[in-house]
Amino acid sequence: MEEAKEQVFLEMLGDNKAQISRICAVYAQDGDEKKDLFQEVAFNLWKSLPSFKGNSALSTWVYRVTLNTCMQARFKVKRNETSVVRLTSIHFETLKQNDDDAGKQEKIAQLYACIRTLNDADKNLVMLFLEDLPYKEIALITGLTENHIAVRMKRVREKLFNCLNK
Amino acid sequence: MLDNEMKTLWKSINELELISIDKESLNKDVHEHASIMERKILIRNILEIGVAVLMVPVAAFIAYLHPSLLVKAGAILMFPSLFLVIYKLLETRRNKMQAKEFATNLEFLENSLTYYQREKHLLDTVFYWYVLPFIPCVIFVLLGIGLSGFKLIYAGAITIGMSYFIVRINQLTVARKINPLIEKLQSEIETYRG
Repeated sequence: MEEAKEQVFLEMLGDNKAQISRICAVYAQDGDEKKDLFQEVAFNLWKSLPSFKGNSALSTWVYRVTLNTCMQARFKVKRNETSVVRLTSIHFETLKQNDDDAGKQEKIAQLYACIRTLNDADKNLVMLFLEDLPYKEIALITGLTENHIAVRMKRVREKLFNCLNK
Repeated sequence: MLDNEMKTLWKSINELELISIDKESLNKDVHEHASIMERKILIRNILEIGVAVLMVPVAAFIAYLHPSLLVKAGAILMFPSLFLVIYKLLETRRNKMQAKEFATNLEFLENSLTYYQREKHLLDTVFYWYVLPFIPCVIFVLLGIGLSGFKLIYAGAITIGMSYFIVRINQLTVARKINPLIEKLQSEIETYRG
């Protein structure tokens, strides 16, 4: 049982690491905090895995844990160094950037900056939208109704487009 | 920028980043971290409840050994007070389950709010369940050991000072840590529903 859980956990983390990293990057103030958040998400996924009953897709569940962990990190008045999860088995490496990448990186930085100007609820909605999830799945992750999401997304997208076109 | 362009840009964020997971040691890592967390919880439990549990035989010992009836009465009165503290801590622990990370975002925020509101209530009422029940015990013991005059005033002042310190430190925790969190969570829930 334990071995099966460990296998599922490793596969789940491997399959979703890019998504988790993108979300953590929006919530983090810098690269180090992003790594801390990623590791905290990984730990929470492992800890919560026995509670996964298969009522939703595994990816939906991963998004929930990721967003909740990132939001929770902001509620902590002071992030205590001793309470930070340190999983040394997860390595982060920044690859070398080509000249062609510079323009793209600038656009990415702008996208991040614009998403960060939104409140957490809108931020979460927009990130899930950019992950290409249908409103039905976004509703399962956020707890909002599909109608509410549709109305809200219209407003949020407008805000985001305005910010990106400034 | 169109939706699709934005989505493509968003997904290309990780192109310059490599996250590698050492599968062999990750499971060991999470187990280790989990046991560190469990140890911390155990230490916290021992500190919170253990002291009250340890005081029970001490009070029994005093009640049995001391010749003064007032001291015996004070020590015996300590039992219900200690049991009240133990009960209150256990009950709070049982009820204040941390919000589950796998709940929907809105549920998670609401559960976190309930958690901190309970914590606030516990700390706000510390005078009634932690300080007040012990005051008659202390009065009986102080009178029973024969303190009078200046010594009695001195011991009384220390008791009042300690009680004030306990209440004040809890008030400060609520004001500095819990209230800002509750406000943050309430505004977060409002923006979610908004």
